[in-house]
Amino acid sequence: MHELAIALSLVDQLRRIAEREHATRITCVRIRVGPTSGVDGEALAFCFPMAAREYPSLEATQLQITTEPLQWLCLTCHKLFSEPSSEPVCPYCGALEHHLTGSDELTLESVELT
Amino acid sequence: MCETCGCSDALNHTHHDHDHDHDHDHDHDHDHDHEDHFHGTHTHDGHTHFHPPTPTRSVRVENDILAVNHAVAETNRRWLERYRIHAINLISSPGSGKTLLLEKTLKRLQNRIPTAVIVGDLQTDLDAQRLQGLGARVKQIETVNACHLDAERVSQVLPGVIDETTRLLFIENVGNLVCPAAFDLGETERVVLLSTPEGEDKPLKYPVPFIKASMVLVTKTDLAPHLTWKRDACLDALKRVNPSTTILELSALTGEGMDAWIHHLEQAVRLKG
Repeated sequence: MHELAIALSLVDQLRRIAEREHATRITCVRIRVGPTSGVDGEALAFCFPMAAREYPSLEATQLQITTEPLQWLCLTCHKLFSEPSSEPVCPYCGALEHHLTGSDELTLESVELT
Repeated sequence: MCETCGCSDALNHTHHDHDHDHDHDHDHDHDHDHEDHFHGTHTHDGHTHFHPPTPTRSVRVENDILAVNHAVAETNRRWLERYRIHAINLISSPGSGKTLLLEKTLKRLQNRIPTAVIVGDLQTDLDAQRLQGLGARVKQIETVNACHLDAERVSQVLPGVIDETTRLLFIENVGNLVCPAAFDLGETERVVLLSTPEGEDKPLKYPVPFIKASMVLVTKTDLAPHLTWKRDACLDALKRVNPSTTILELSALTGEGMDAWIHHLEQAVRLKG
């Protein structure tokens, strides 16, 4: 459950933004979670209220988390595709050789303030 | 300036355009939340009232949420570079053989390569005790309940565990295949262990640590004959998850395959000059 540590880092950043922007509340936070970041979006959303609970500016803050699945990169046609199977067939060229890829970003994209 | 609400930032927000006419028939006791949009003065049900404007505005941030960890990790990395230390972050499930590998590795490197070890565990200094007396400085970090090491914890113990003679640093992360993968510690190299009893499909089931590994050690190869271990399937899975990773197969217990690992360490240290 390292998402609590990540939620605490997020809360630190949000508090600084609220202060800098003279905001009384942050109503909404948008986050992008890359598939190789090692972070689970739902676990982060679960931990966030605990990390934020002592800060009135973060009361009832809504978390909008955008995630994307890991993708396979086809070694034949070099196209990306998503497929949960561990032995997928490329939907573009039918090849069987691929490797997994995806962004490792964990980005605080934007906030809504009042 | 925004003409609607008077705030200084006219570009970064929008206003609710309020074109509904309030002729709805609920009893309107005003306990609903008006904070997020601007009503201004309006009249309905025979009375006039005013809601002060509290518009929301949007601020673009685009910050790395783990920026603080990354900054400390970079400081660790620069510090290790300055001392010409090759640092390895060892990540695996609990029981994959990290500590036995270190025991055997330290024995082989003793009196040849000055080595230091940082060991992370939830509780106890049992691993640090196991690694004492093998010529390396060893420091245990008890994370108590934290499931991973972070750059800050490592930076706190670094000065006490390395000195100007140190050439190689092992950071044995908390036994956990998921959480440590998210935290850069400032290492030169990330090595993930996969022991044969864990199953050859583990890289596909837990891809993230393997995607980020520069080297994968398949450990406990001495157990393979007693298991339904499919070596080719494992190598294939690793190749599919991370085609650029280097794979070594070894048994720290019997010593099989250890030469290639030791050779890799010697070369890495030599490259640091």
